[in-house]
Amino acid sequence: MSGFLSNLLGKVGLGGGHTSGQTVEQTAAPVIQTDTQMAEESPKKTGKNVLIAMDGSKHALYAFEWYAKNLYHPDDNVIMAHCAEPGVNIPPTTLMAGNPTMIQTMMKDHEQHVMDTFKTIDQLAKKYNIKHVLERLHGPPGEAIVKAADSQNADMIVAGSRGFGTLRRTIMGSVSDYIVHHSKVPVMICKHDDEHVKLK
Amino acid sequence: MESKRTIVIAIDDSVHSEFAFDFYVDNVHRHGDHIVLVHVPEYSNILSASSLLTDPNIIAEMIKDTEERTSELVDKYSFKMQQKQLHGHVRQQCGKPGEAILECAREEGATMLILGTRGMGLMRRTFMGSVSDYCLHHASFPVLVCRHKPFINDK
Repeated sequence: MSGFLSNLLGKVGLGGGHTSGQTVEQTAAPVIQTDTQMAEESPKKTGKNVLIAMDGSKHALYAFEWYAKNLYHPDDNVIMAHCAEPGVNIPPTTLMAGNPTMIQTMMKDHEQHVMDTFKTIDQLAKKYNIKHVLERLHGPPGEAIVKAADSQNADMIVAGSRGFGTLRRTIMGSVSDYIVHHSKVPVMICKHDDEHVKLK
Repeated sequence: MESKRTIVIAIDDSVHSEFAFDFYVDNVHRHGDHIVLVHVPEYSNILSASSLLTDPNIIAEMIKDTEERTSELVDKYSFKMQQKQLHGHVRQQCGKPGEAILECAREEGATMLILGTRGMGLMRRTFMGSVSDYCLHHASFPVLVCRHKPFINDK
């Protein structure tokens, strides 16, 4: 081990070497000492509990597909959470109009929209053969997602970076922003390709 | 069918980096991943202090000190990688941490970037450090921000 150590120190350039963009190469040595043979089994992974925030937008769908391709493990418990927030789609001014029939129609439409979203989510999961649970959340989306992750003992949250919300602050959606700042567990933010173009 | 992934993990001396690295190994790692650990050593504090100090020896000491800590860090993570039989390399990058990390990740063609929520910074008035915040907003690839549970009450 000491030979390896001094070799590495030399590469780091101790003693006044320049450090700009210096690369320290360390390839996984094919020669493995016998004692590390004990840790031979590839990093053991059991499934994890993953909560995926889905609002039905292309960003959320992209995030899910990305998860399916890059993070999914067959033992994962996947919770696809959708927060159906009527306030987002129904402007409060219409409610103030006070027409009960109209309000009822709007609520029905909203419910229908929620069901459609769940169907889309469900189909997407089936497409990737991912066993999952659909969950409907209530309340402000950010809070609801973080709370659900907590109560479901999620090991991580997956979210897109923008959604259907009407607030389009800065480069990242307000819900994903909230999640990252308030989550107690690691959060994976997947940016839809469109977002990459904007950043250039 | 699985294409080779390049996983960039930003590391520093903090326990947050360690948690991020461990989380990757336990939950994200896939066989064949190429891992790039990027470290941005902090020389800015030395450079700003230099205006107050007239003794070049003190500056040389500070630089040597930083270099030593950097090489310790490199050793620590190299050992962890060897232990888990992971493939990859360590890179040092110069500049402002957030920008430097993203620069490195872009050059490496990162599939994703992994970081802790905080580093060694002393400012703890926010939920999340400025580096992770910067990276999250400016990265053009998915970012995994790892919050270490025991530290959620660090305000």
